[in-house]
Amino acid sequence: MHNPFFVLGLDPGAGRSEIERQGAKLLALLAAGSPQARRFSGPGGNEFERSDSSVRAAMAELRDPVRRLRHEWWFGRLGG
Amino acid sequence: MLETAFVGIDLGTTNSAIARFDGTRAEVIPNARGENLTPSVVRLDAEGVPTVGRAAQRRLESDPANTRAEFKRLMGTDERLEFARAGAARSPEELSAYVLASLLDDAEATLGVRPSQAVISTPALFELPQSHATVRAGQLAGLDEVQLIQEPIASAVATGWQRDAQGLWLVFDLGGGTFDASLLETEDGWLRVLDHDGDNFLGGKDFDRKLLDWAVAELGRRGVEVPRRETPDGRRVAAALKQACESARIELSRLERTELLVPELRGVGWDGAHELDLVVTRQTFEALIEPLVERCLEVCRRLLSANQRDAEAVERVVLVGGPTLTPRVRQRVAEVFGGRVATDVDPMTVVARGAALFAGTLGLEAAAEKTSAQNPAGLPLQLEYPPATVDPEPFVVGRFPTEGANPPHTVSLQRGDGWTSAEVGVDERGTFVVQAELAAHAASRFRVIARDSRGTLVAVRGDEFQIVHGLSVADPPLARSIGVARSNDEVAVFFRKGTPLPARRSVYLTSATAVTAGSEESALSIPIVQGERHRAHNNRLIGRLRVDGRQLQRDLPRGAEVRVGLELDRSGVLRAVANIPSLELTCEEVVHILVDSTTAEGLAKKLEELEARVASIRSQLFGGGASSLLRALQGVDESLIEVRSGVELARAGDRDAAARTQRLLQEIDASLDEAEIGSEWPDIEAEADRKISWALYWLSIHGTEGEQERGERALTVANEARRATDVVALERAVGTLTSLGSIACRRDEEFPLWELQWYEEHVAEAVEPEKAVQLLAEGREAWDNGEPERARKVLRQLDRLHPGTEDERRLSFDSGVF
Repeated sequence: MHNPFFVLGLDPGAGRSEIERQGAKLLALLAAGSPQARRFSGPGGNEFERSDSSVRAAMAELRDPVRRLRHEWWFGRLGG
Repeated sequence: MLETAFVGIDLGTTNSAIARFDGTRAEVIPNARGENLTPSVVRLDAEGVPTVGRAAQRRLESDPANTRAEFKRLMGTDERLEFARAGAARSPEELSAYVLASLLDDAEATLGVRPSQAVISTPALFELPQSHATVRAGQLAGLDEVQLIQEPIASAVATGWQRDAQGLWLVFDLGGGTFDASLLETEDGWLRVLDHDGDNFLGGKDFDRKLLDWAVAELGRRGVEVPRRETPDGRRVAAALKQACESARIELSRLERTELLVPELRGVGWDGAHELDLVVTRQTFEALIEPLVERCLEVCRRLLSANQRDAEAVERVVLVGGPTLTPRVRQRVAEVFGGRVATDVDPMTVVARGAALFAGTLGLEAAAEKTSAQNPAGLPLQLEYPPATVDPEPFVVGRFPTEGANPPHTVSLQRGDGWTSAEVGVDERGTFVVQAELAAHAASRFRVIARDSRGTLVAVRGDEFQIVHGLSVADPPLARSIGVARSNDEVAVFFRKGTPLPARRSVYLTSATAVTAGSEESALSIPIVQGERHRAHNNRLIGRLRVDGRQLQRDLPRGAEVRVGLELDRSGVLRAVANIPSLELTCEEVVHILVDSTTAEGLAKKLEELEARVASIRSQLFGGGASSLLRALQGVDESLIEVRSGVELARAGDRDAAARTQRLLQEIDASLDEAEIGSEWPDIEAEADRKISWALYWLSIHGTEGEQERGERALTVANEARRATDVVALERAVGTLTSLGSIACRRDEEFPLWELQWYEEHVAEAVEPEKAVQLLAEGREAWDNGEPERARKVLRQLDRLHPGTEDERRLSFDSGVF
């Protein structure tokens, strides 16, 4: 699984509302068939595929405070 | 124009209710009698015409052969309930469908249109077959679209709606036969479920049973002998006493004392010459139910403790279910939770109102055709937006088709009250993103205003939509992992526990069996299992996708590629698809969900199996001397006594006892699983030790620094799991170590030789033995010629030909794929 902050295109300072809003926006863009929404940049600038399942999974990860903390830690080490 | 209406239904064991949400308020729709609750009781006349609700309930005692209640407990089973006069039998789904149809009639009378889409609530602990049966009941009642919501979430949604609720919630749901406690959390209006716990054998009926035992003892003290239940008089008196106790329990919620009136005793155990004067006080009743109330609170404490919280952390407790109206229950809950109990919630209708609000969050309008009645002319527009959200400024995404027409240049949103958004550009693909602004805690209606490059208005089709501002509900998490059993007794995990729903995934597998075209007997079986265990047979079989010969134009050989896709919706309904590219065949269906039986014969058979399991475990335990597990078995023994009596009652036609016995059997099954793990624990540990030593050996020789670090972490987890006797965590940690060890082991120069030797011993089990022999020869030649990389390539091909042994295949529910 990719780091959820990369999947959602957010930085670790994002609050709960920002996460939900960004997730909802990406889901809407994916449903509308937006090609830009189907890709995201990972650490080092590599491009990866984004799907509605990966967006939902990323949102679920960041809703959990303990799991979020782990992703914040990794985000820093991945050079985000 | 029809007003907005979202419909939610609480399909209860005892009573049901239907509610509507208009975008601002959620309220219960009364039935034709003006009552908010419709008893979940169905009666069939001689022609098979159903009567539902209060009228049917009145005949429950006097005409039990043609009247049925509490069939919700049988949902997801293969039980059929007989109706003597109609000479017909109905499934629990069909009976639930009658209740739902009656509620939809009431909604139609109020709304002016019959709902075609609705949300139905289900208990938190419902499993896939029960959820599936509920959706089917909705479809049988004429609903085109049914979504489910767990009852505690519905309660929290209804209570949190239009409140600035924050923090931890506990939903205390005491029904007629079950108790559910759920922990939820709200943060900035976003609601998510943390965990559930419950007791399937604790409810208002147990309160009544305590009172009944007291009444029988009191009658005995006055020389009145209650006739035995086996006799016709006994059954009549027992039914009357049960009814009197239920009435007394309800009356004692507002009165300090009440009298148990049982005129049916006259001439049976009582001469009627003197008054029985069977008065019960609230104090007596409260003393009787005290242990039951404490059991409920113990479940709450266990739930909080499992989530590292205490009662102080709970901001609000929501009471749900009729028995929570009992003053002693309210008082004890308030004492434990420092008075933080929501007092302005009607426990009888809160679930229906929450279900209606949830229909709003899904945009599931009762009359689905309404949106298509919009402007039929103009450019078609596809809109994506959250139908309900706590976000006051959500994004709206739109897309105009670009084929054959130029998309507009800009768009903006206009709200019903005149507010207008900024204009945003439409890109070359016809897509735009615009931010809406919602009226607080209300429904906002919007229209998309589109203009061309000259600023002229462009007509748009499907330009109107509505967003409700309120509570948002996070995607529900999957309770247990789901995957496909492979023929080598491993599991291809599709969805891990905690995966947010909806979810879908496809995995490429290989056929382990050949299927002959046109043959009914010849079939490819794809078993679907639920659970966390590493070996397929340790998990629960929940369904099976079957591709039989009749569906094939050509034979399906062993070793063919099979793409299996699973899709789980929010309601937990599972759809499966098998695609065989070589045959250009796709089999798609809602997977056949396996059901439990509640017939007396089925229960007796299950009891027999359990007794054999108990004997076997006991003999193993005596050898190993694990006293704690023997104690666990003593609890099972007590439950088995209850099961035996339940099977007898089921044989005598007591459906309630049958359903209760079936649930008891399931619980014993689960206890035995634990006990068996206990008895197998030394073997599990020994196997784990062997694998860990093997992995650590190879990691120490060929592992990278990173792999060794991961191995160390997995070893720590394995040791913790061992201390806690947690087989799932141990298997997972050992699995990680084994994978790391395999990677390291493959780096050894001799590895290809060992693998070739193993395949030579097992070549007969390959799906294509001839091809396997050919590959083995090629591999040997590569190895002998000093070409290890070529040998490794051959091994990868051999790996794809090996479906597991016959024993593994049998254990894996006869899986036909690997």
